[in-house]
Amino acid sequence: MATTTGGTPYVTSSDLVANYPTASLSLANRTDVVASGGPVLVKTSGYTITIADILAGNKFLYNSASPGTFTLPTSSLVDGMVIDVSQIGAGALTVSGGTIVGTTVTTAQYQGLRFVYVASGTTWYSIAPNATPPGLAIITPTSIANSGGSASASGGQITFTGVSSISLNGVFTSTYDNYRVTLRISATSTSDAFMRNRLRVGGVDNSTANSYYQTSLYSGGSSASGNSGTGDNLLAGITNSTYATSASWIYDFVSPALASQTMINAHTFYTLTSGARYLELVDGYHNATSAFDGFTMYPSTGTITGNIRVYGYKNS
Amino acid sequence: MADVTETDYTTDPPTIIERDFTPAEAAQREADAKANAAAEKAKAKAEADAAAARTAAIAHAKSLGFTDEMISVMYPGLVA
Repeated sequence: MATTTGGTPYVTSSDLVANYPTASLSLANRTDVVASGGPVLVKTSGYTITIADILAGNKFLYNSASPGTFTLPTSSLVDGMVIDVSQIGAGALTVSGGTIVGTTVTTAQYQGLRFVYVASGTTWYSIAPNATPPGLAIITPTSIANSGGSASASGGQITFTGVSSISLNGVFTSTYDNYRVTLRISATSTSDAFMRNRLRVGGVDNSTANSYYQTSLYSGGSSASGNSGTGDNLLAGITNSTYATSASWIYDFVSPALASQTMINAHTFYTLTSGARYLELVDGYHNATSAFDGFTMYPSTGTITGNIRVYGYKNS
Repeated sequence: MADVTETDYTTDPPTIIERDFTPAEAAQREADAKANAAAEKAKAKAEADAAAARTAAIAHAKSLGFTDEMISVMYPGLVA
């Protein structure tokens, strides 16, 4: 059995008939891999891509916590050759080699790029699938601060246990105008504490008296009640130590990092072990026309356990 | 044990700083605790006032000769 330059096996006249099943299986497997879009060469450090790699139909995957470089070939190239690279580790992948035209030569985690060779210009063209696809982007805070208990951030999720307050810094930036925050509380130390929220900047909460304006609607069944008020925090929902399931909060922060009033829209829902179900809608704003870079969540008494994620709404 | 644990994720590995409340934070927490205690007290008083008003209303209705059944028809929810 022999193989093509690209690595595909084939039978030659000198092969014994008895060997054909093995060769046939190799060929079939190769066909399956190619049909699935592979094969993929996984690299954990920098790598120089060869012509043979390309002719074998390989894609290239970088998986490392440290930055690395894939180097494109510069000779024996044919018009229309294509190289697909992608990155799954935290270490950024940079592509270099020869002449590359295109603004994007470095990938981020879970992203990829395509390079197409155009012989007339002896140039690799970098094709980014869509540098800024619309949707939500998970945000990891630059730092967190917790009072009591413990807290940590991993993969954009902030997990906290038994804290009397949890603060996220550096989540509101000029990158996005608007943000969604999901808060899930699985346990509390006390019943009927109020869940409160304050905006912050530079690691300091804004607790200016009567700076948070809000109107809320609360319902525990067939009727609802509402009220409006001001305070030194935004009040949204009640913690309860007898949650039948976790309680959930969804916050939308509109323009917190801009020099304008920050609008806050919150929605919470929880079920008690008694079977009672409650929801609360809270809409409000902070009257300061200044930028904030984070927020603090805290119960009025006791401690909470759960997790928070912050997403940025992409502007375009 | 320190009051606040700060974890800085801009460094690798993250930097952890444990510190006490700043004077401003300590003052704010004290103010929050007082405000919460006042709110709890007001809530308890409102509940007690409501219960007393309910009891007085039922007693007054009964003094006029109404039964619990009749009161329930006139004021649903008043009689437990």
